[in-house]
Amino acid sequence: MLTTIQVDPARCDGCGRCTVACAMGGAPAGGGTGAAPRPPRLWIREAGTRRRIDVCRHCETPVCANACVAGAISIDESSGTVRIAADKCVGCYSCIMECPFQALRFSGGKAIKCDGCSGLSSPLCARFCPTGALQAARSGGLAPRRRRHRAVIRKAGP
Amino acid sequence: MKHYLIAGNSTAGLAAVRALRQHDPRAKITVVSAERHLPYSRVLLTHLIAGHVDAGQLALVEPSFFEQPGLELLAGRQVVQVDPKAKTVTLDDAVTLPYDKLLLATGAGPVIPAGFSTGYPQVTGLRTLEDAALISRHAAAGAKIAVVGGGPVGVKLACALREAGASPELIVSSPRLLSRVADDEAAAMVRRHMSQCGIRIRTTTVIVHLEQSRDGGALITLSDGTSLPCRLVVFCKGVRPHTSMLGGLQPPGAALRVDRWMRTSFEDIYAAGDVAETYEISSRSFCTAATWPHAVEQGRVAAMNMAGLAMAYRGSLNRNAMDILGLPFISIGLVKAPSRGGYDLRIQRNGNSYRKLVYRRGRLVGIQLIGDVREAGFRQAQIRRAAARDIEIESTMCCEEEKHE
Amino acid sequence: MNDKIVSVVEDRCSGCKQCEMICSFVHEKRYSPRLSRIKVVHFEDRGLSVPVTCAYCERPLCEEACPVGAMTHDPETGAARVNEELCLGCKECANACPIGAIEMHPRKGVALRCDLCGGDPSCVKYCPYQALKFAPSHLAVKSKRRAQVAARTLE
Repeated sequence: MLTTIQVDPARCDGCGRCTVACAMGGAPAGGGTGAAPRPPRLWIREAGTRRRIDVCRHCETPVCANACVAGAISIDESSGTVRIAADKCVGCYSCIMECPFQALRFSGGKAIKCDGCSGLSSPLCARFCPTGALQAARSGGLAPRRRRHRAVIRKAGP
Repeated sequence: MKHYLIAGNSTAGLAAVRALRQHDPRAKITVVSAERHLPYSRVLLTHLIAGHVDAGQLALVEPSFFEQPGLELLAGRQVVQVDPKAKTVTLDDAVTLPYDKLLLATGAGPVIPAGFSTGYPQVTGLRTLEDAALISRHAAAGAKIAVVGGGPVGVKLACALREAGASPELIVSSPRLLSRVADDEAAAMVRRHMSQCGIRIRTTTVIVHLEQSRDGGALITLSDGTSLPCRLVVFCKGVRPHTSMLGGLQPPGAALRVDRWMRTSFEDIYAAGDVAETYEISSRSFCTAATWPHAVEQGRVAAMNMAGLAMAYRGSLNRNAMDILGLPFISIGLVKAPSRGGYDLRIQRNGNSYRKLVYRRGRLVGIQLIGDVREAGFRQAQIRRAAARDIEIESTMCCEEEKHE
Repeated sequence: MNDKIVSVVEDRCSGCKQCEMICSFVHEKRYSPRLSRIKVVHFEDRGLSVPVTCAYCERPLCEEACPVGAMTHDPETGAARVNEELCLGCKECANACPIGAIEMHPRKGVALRCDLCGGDPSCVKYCPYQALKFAPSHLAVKSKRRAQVAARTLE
């Protein structure tokens, strides 16, 4: 079952609750919450007139994973999320050079990125986003299906 | 049930095996690997020498990977001959194997000047685990090691040797470092940083004479007249593709040109990785993009096409990312804008950071980043989008003219 | 942006999914609704079924959302395209589509998008109830207006 983060930067008001939630409660690889605060895995960036949310989209063909020279990035089969095995990362910047979403950054000599909040029922950033700029959805049918239903209901009327 | 044969078990070959397993789970795959090791990352070799990783961390798969049903690994063997008509390959032990589809992912070997390639234990390239082990042994003793070549491999090796406690001498024939992948200012910053870290760098210098010395090391004479005794001389002057298995069907030393579907000019024979020549979108020419992400992508795309899924290759894009003793470096596309008009440069300098964007007719075609490497991936996507709009990547049967019988 | 598109004739869809079958077969050589570019939406409580496919928006949000320029359309025919070699499978297009007409290919990891079958849409041809038509969009609306007006005047 694949997870997708739906990002709608137009709704983002820059409050930053997502980054705080990620930093305070993000689950380290292997599950578990309540770990010590760590650098957030997503960033709000003002790019000219637009605001961007740099967060991993857990792509189905992740260019970061292809570029990793140490084999540290791979897709976790059970959750469909793209993960970095930190112990393998050598801090070469190759993945940072690839990601169109700037979803990977450098921290403590290694690359870091969103790990999909492994072990939690829904990603923290989306849970704490007040505007709906970040929403979690299972891909492969549910989110598009809901939208199709809604689109038809609008057309068909009550 | 299709039988796929993959010659080569490094970056491109492994990516192909993974993609074949995903897209044709029932197929029979035979992999012929000249090296006996499990596939490992050649890019990590400098990190191994520097001490960032140990040898056990280099392998890209678990040993059990090759125990999958339908996957056969012939390690320590080489394909020495290919018969495209009969659709067979012959190995170095005279065994002949048939194939439905063949992928040549045999990579390339280091270019070492004629005369020094054999009989000189003090001379080596840096391609294999064995090369890295030899270099590490000398580095551990704090030895003086000459590194020849100012490209990314030479630069990374010189830095790694410094970190390992050796005494590297970087000998560069060009007037500056990274002459193909960095602009003048970035190259100067890199040189300054490396010199400050204690690496001796000589540009516009070549080795004019090399002889073995009595203590087992080497004595090299440089073009500036200097005599340099050292324990080891490592040539990082590029690589030559391994295409000898095609014999007279292919000019020696020439990479295998492939079309958008990773096909060579021989039917049912594909190529990927350092052995292949692909269309590069920033220079708009065919070349061998001998870097890691290209090998992975080409291996994957070749495999998808071998499995019958028409998946075009999006084209190579020259790019390099590295950490130079704590100084981040990224360059993508055309970073050395020609002096001809039509190019627009946007430069930001901030302390140890240098960021340059190169535009041509309003479109981003290159980016050079030192220090602050943010937005690199975003800019790569921008460069690719601009290139796709500007040019049509021809679905070239470039090989039509060269079709061999 | 496009002249002729696949549109739905009201109240004719039976929910049989022949459109999904033929679409997946034409594009992927397999009968698999999961691979179809047209999807039928069911409302069991009302006995209503409606097919949904690319509406060929005047302003395609999917194309704007794609970071790598993989979502394009043919400048002459207007037919939508996915440049699979560029597609990362990031799902930005699927998330941007307001009517949920885009999903991801489960194996190739690329976006699935209606391409009008090169100008002769199979779903339209194979629908047993003629619930789909391939017509200029403005005429589709016009005929609906006519039907509405006729229904009221003939009461």
